[in-house]
Amino acid sequence: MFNLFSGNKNKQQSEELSSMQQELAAIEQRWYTFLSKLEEKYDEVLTAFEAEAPSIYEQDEDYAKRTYHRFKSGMDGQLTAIRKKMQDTAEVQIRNTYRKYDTASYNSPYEWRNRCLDAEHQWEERTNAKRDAAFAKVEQAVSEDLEVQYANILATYEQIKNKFTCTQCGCKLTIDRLYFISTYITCPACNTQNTFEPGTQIRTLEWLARPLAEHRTKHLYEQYQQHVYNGRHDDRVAYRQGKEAESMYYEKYLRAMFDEMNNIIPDKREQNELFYQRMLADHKR
Amino acid sequence: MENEETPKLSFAERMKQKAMQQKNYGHELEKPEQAAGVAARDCPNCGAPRAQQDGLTKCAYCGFEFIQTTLSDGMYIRKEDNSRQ
Amino acid sequence: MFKKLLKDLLGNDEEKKEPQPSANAANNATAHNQHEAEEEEEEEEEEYEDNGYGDDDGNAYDPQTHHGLHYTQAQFDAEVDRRVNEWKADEEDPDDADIRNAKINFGNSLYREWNRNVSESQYMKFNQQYGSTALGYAVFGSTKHDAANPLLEPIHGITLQDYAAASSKMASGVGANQIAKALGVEQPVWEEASTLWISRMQQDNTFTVTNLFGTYFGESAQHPKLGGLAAAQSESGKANLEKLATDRYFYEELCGARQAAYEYGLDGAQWIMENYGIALGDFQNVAVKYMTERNAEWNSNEIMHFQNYQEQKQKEYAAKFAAEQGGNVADDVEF
Repeated sequence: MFNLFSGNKNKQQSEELSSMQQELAAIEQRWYTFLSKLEEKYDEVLTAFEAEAPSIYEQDEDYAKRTYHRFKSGMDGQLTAIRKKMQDTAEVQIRNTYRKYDTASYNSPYEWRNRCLDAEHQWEERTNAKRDAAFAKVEQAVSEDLEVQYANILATYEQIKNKFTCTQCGCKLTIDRLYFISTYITCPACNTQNTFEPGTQIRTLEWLARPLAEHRTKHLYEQYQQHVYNGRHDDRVAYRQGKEAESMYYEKYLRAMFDEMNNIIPDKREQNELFYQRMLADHKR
Repeated sequence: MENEETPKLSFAERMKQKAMQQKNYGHELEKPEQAAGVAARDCPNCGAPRAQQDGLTKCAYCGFEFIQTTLSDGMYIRKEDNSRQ
Repeated sequence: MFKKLLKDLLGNDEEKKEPQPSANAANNATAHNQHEAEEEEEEEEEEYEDNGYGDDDGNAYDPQTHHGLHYTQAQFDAEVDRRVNEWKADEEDPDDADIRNAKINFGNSLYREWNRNVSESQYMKFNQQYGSTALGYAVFGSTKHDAANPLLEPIHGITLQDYAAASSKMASGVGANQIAKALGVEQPVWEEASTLWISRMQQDNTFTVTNLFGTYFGESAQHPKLGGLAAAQSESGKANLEKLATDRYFYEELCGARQAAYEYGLDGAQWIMENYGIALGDFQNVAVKYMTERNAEWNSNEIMHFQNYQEQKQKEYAAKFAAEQGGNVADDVEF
């Protein structure tokens, strides 16, 4: 078999090896447990976010919904903190351990490292997907409220459009369109320039128009997203066809979105059309 | 994170409280909900009202400058709204 | 700040798609270096690695185009065109984007060839300018105000300088009525101009209006009609603002703190107001100042240094905010 001397050496080596393997196996086990515990916490944050966010949005009386945004940002911050904790631990427990044993020329534990880092990678992918899904769900829920806000603006406009009289002669003034900023209204009887103030609620129309238009054309945006071409550049024919299809769906979405904007805020049609041209040109570039 | 002494509030509930208790940036400046309304500005110099045919920028009677700039073609306000003299 | 500005102006999805001029230039630089490394002599490579990103390489450069003064821009462009055409002959039916990228790459490598011992910071300035020009983007800090550009025409007599200074003042707490009064207009005129200036930025895919807006925003204190307007500010707020503008470390610290605040559900702008009495508009003014300096000098080591410092501070403030809210959700998860 083997002589005593080399046998001792082998024994020593194999003892070292087995103590290393034991250590690695223990770390690996703890790593998987750690990842799954962190993921439970991650899920808890997401579940709570999904449950609370829509009602916070609805109750938030601020026109910019800043309470909701603070809440969202704080909850998202926790997700980031969990991810950072995971990454920091991977650095110390997995990468550092690997570096420690990788210096030995024999039996570098790179398979061990790969398994552990694969688990890290999968954890990231999985939690990212969950986060995206939860945020999209909440976004969908809160954007339903945009229609309500818009309907309220229209209702307010109906209430006020025949309510005012000329400050000079008292003749009835008709607010003939949905002015969303203050402007001059001429009295039809005495020609006096009256200054019309649309009020806080109607003013929000300017900021509501685009999110609402996007909400209404979300299906087209998703359709476009499905046709974003990520193929390789070197197959020219396929690349061009892919890009052409992508552009077609983008244009379809963009046109519909701007049509909605023009419906919602018709007085900005001229500006919106120029904005549309620019976005289309950007996409082509 | 679980604090035994505080009443049982979940993390999300505490985050919600924190979000709701804070003041918005610029809250001192924000006016309370403003209602729609109509006003008119008579000439502060001679008291004459402003009529459309006389333009927006100058008082037709005493020449007082309501608006010191030259109006261009905008959304509602047009070049024609510049007073002639 | 400009990311934020673009986001506010253009909405979310837009922000993701907008090229960031500087990041873009940096990418081009990396691509170029990898490509060139194979071709350049070893000695030369070492030379530019060793030059320590110093600013003065002893050569004279045009301050606008950043070209060396020992050749003309026409000569340079002709040589780039020649190389692009040579390349095109071998390429199978390249599209516009391919040609544009080739032009940028050839231009960058030619620049190194014709400016042999160019410093890294000088190269970065050229790279940014050249790449952006080829793509049709204006570069922040070196965008020229061309009065003939219809997008820069005043709206109801309100110039972009007026609008940008007003935006800065309003972000620091000056009311719209004060702004209108100081500009000599009535409220409806100001509001319409304000709406239309935002539209101008949205229409402009060269970023000229947005870049100039940023520059003028940062110069609001010098605006003849609006410069003197100020919201009430505490004595300590004044002192802190002064410190912010002169002590880069303090500025980076507050940037880190603000970022951390948002991650802990706090309004960062309000947090800075409450703790340091500095208004958002004033803070952004200082940001523009540092950004302009950064683009003018382009010292990679320094940029990295401050970035690391800010990250370090952000971590410290995150720990502080976490402690204030009774810890983070996953604190009890141990390895």
